[in-house]
Amino acid sequence: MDADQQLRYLDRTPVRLARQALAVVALAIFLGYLVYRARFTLNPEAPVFAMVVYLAEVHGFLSLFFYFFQTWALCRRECPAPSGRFTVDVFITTYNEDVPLLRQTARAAMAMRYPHRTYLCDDGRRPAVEALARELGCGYITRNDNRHAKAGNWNNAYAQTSGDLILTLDADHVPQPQFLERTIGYFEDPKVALVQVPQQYHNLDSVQHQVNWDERRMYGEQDVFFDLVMPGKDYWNAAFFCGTGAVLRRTALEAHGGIITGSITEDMHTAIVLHSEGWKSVYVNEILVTGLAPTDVASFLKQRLRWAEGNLKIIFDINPLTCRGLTIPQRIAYFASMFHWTVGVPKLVYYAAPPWMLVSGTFPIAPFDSQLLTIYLANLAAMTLAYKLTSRGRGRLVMDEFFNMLNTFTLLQATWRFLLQGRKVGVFVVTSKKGGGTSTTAVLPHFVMLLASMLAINWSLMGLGFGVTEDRFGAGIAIFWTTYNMALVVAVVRLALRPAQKRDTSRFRACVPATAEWGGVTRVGATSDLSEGGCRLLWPEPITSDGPRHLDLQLPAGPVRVAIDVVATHRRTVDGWYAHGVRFVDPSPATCDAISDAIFDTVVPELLHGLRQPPLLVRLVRDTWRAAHRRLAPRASRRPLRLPARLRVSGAPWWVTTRDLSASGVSLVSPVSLPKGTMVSVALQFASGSRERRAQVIRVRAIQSTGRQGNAWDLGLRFVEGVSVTAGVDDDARMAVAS
Amino acid sequence: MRRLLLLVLAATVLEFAAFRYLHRDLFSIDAPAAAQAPVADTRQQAEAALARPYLSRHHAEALVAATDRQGLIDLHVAALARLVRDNPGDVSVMLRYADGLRRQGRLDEAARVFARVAEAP
Repeated sequence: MDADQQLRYLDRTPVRLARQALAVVALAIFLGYLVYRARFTLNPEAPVFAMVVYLAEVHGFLSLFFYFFQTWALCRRECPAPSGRFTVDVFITTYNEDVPLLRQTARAAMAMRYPHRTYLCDDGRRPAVEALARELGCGYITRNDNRHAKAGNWNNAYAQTSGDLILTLDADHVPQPQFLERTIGYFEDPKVALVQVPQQYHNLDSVQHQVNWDERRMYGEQDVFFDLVMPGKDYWNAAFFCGTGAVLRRTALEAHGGIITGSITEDMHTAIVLHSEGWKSVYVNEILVTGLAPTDVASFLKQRLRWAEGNLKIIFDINPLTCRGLTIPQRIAYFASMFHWTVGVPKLVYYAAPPWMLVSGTFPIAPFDSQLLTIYLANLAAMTLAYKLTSRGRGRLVMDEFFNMLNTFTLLQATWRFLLQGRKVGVFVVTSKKGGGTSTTAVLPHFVMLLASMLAINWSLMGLGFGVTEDRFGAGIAIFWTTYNMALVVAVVRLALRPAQKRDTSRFRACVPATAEWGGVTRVGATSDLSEGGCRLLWPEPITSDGPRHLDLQLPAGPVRVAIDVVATHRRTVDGWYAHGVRFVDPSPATCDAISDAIFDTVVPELLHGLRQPPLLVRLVRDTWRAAHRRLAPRASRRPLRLPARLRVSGAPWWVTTRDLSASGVSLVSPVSLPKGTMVSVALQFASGSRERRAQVIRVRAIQSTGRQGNAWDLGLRFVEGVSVTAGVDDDARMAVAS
Repeated sequence: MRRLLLLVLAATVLEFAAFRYLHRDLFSIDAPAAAQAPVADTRQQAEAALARPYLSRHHAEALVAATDRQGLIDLHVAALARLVRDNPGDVSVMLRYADGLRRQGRLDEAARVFARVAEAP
């Protein structure tokens, strides 16, 4: 079998060609702009300043070229079925991560379908981890030293095991049950050395995520890399090993004794060597594993520093431009990955130039006339359009700029170390998996920049006010850019100073029906977020000291009883529920496991599935179509609403949760699928009580079809009785507002 | 937050002090007390002001007035020359420049400037 036969273009040919043409046009315009700038607009009165800014623009051109090169032909793979002839080992590398976190990962790893053996590779030599391995029935491997950090740990396990293939997971990366089934088949091609999947994260409150829950849109800082760049690299056979969520062929690593050590980004180093030896890599763009992203800015920047430094320093060990055995596209793709991390230098130029213009009164561009302005705006428009249309909804310029601002000083530090320290290997710092505190010191350079920008604006205004200068146009442009950069800095500082995460475990936005016997009556509520340690509980009335002390969480696999301690009572929601902060009192391991399984089998896939935003063009066409369609065939307005509900066809009912609700129908998440056209009875549990209606199933869609606890389905129901069920909601909402 | 605000305030005050110091020539020429300033001081500030690559109309006029008051005719003419250079189409400035040259005894140059004024549209 040839793995390349599984490659399929993501776009149809006309769309792909249009995107490629757009990329070429954007690059041509950018090049024309640079030529014009060089010939006519470098200010001879400030040659150094003019040259520095010009070189920053050249860096931007190269970055854009590398981006378009890597995303030239986005591909996906058609998954071949595994033959079953490979034996598989799963390595979970750990050093100091919490045991409950490791437990989640190990249980999920062991629950993967396809025969395999799971090992906890513990560099911390902790008895608790050994006990966990014994309890779960997986292997435990440790060593006496921590030489070569994670890579050394991995190689130690590699030397003691014999599986044909090795899946490597970080301690916080929880795999989906189908992981191996979706990746092993590619190894039928004897040239495939590694299969990498994207790193997605389940803690959406992390630094690198921005979620608009109302519009169900999510921005992830790494989305462009994992959704665009890596599928693009895959086309060039240059997708590389990212350290976790990858399956490696043992025989490919034999000559090197495992992963290549000596750098802090051993994953990329290993991938370059494998590619240079003629091995193939495969990138499977499916969310098959989710991990924890840093929750505080300091941890985030530490991680980025490690990546940047490691990626830059690889060139001392193996230079992709000169290394034998790589194809030209592979050389460019690898060099592009390294070049990306130098972006801190031009960004600093862009951030420092406007304040410098304000203070010094000198400008890098002269003359700044209408001709230059026209070319500049044409270039900006072409770049923006090309980026937006080729990034398939993943690239968002303002957010990209925000993260550039956040990363700039860290990337500068990495570049500095690269230039000054040379080959010297930095220390491998494990990324913190816990919620950190505020990160004031991490953003000290940003504070300085904010102050400097403010003083520069002051300086310029004083100059204008006291008649020292009269160049209002130049000052206006510089003040505009300085203010724009200051807004980014303020956003960065706000992110760094946000309140510390106090919980040990991540909370997930999960609506799980919860019931409790209280005063001889069964009451129904729901969680609005959930973790193994507690939840935010929506309850029809305030829970007082004599209220329920136990909850039955109606998880897809069955009810789980937990003892609760109400630690906070919040105000009433607009839907009439009373929100409570609830801590689970000494939950048993079995309870934690059941909650964890529910979260990773149903909640996380549904969250990530529901927050996927289609590309800009698709959104435009879809929204226009919907608007036109609504005008022709008006439909009751839908309202996103998470409510517990009971669904019954015949026999015993089961618990489901609503996604949205209108007067004519409801959308549900159900652990059970139903055929289209089935008549059901649905009892919606409002804060004011239950309302039961007859409905017909009109839509059935798998949210994720391979969970350990069964499937999760998105069901669309249409009410068959002409009675508005939203009346109760609106009554409650009015009451809440009035109170 | 209060510390941060204090820091910003202190930085602003320091910045203003630095601004005033760097532009002390312009501030001293423009000040109402400039008339009573010692001639040597005025000469020093005027020379510094004239050495600037950019001099606003306001400050140039103040410089012309200050040097005239103090009888620094060479600097007065230099200031007028600067005004003419920065405002080439301004006939009234050329007239004053020509007059300044006349007062300095540079009659030939004054005549040439007067002639230019006469030929001006």
